[in-house]
Amino acid sequence: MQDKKERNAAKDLFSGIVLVIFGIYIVHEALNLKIYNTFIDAPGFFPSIVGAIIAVLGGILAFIGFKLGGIREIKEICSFKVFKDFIVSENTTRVIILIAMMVIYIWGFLGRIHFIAATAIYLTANFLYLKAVEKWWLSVIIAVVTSFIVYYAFKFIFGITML
Amino acid sequence: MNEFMRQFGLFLQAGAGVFSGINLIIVAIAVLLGLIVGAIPGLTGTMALALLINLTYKLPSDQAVAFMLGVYVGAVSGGLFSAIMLNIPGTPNAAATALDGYPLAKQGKGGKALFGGVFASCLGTLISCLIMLIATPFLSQIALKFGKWEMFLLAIFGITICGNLSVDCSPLKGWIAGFLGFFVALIGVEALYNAARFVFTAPLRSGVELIPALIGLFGVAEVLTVLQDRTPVQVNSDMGSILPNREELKQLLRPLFRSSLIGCGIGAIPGAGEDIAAWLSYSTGKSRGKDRANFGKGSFEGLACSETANNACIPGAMIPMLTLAIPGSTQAAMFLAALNLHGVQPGPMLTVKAPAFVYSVGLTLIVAAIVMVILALVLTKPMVKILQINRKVLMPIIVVLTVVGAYASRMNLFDIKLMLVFGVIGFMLRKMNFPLAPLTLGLILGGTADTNFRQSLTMGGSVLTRLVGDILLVVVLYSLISGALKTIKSAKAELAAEKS
Repeated sequence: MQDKKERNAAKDLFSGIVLVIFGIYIVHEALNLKIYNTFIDAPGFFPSIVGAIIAVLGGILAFIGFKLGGIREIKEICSFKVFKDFIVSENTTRVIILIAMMVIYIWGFLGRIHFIAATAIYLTANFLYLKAVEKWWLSVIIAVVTSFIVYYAFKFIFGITML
Repeated sequence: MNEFMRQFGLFLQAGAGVFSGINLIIVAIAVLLGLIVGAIPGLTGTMALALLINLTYKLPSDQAVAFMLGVYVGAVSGGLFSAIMLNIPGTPNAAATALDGYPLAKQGKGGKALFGGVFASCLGTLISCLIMLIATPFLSQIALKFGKWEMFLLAIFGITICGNLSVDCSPLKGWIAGFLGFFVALIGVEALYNAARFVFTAPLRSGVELIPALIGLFGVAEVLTVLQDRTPVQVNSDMGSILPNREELKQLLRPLFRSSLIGCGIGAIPGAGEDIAAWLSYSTGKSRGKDRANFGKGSFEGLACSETANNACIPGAMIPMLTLAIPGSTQAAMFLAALNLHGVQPGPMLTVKAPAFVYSVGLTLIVAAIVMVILALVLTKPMVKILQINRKVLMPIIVVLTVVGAYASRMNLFDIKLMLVFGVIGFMLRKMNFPLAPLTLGLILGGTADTNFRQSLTMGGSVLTRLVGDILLVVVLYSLISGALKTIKSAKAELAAEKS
């Protein structure tokens, strides 16, 4: 429980600082937008308020995180061992690899190769990585059959022009 | 009298459409699909709507609306299957259901708990529907008096109250999420001067499309969350009989009106949602219920408190959505996006442009609730098999379905990329304990807030002399002050715990 709370403090401090920077960026960008008539109906007026609020609320969040021992926790996280444990932990690795596979599927395959081929490769890679089924060839069969079903079902039954 | 006759005529007109053969079949299929998706641990009602919106693109708008409502009702109830049989809530709103449902399953009353839960859900929906059908035309008349200042205040009220009510975090994080949603909604060409704002890449000129963003936030983010968890699934196979006896039925019916009112009321609060309704109803039952001593040990009354309220929330969430275009929950937000896709524009003008629509929604919800009980009677035992589905096979397939869902609304490859970006953002926000409901609400209301705020300011001080606006201003200020006090209290409590 103690561990979880301390991590929350670090999360709050870190996300609070990011929000302050992000809020200031929004205000800066908004104030650079053209004023057509008066400032209060200018395109940048409302975004500048939103940015300022995000920065202020982020500041409050960072302050709470700081008071709750966020600095100490961040120092601990930044120590080599904890950082290494986090990076090589099974959960972190799995999420990073799953996101990477999605990025490759969406940015690399879709629109460049046929939907069925792209989807079959993506699904096979996922099934094999997650060890979803015991036999590797079963992973391939499930992936290929699913890709065909999704493609033809959406194309012919639901009338969607597929990729 | 004339107005009553007019409304009755609209009711009959809506009934003729809802009770047509094809609509009934569509609702039945939709409820079944909703139950199945909702039953799978990790797949929420919002995700069910996000995935199954794919199937409505080519349907006429009335059938698409019927389909989405059926999915909505089914998915909210579907969560009880895994809550009762696995002690893993299939949806967040079924978390309170597990407290009494799982002990009942361990006592060999799993079948009765499942059917009882669906039955309570049905009754909750029916009572809440009646309230919705009575309240919505009345509220629509009030909504017609709303000007630009009032619409702006409503948007602010939406994200502040939604932030205040967020579960497991302080209002501060809810508000931040809401304003982040506002910012995302401001991306693109604005309405007053056609000026481009925060357009990082050319396709963003038309703004962030709601459907890909929501599919990312609730689809991809959930897939990543589920695949991070390696909880093994073990289903208790001994379910016993399905129909409850007279005493158990009495227990199920006891909290009916109280829980329905709580569910409907919470549903009508912007962004609050089914999980809050279920918990509030359960805690009220625990302090006031006749069988409160057995709450948490396997009480049918406890089960009914949660299940009645979370389904009663659905018609409740429709009230602000139909009258003001402000969704009462994330599921309602997804439903709102689907309505926009099919050319239906909820809001104050809905009762003028499509006066029978409110009755169509109400009657469809009633049909869906009744169909759900019939399906539960027949399919409760086979449905439990769905819980054993291999999630490592299912989740990657769901990613493919989210890709199709994001693409299909505009046939645009950029929308798929946008969906993935929002999926990763949603996942990271969850990890940082930021609630997604205020973000969704901000995303929907940001454009309205911006345009109405600037236009009302150019009108000068006259906007502050209107009674409706003044009342709303007081409500917004109260919501802000109470949220600030709650944040300070929770920070002080954490600080005290840290020091000790």
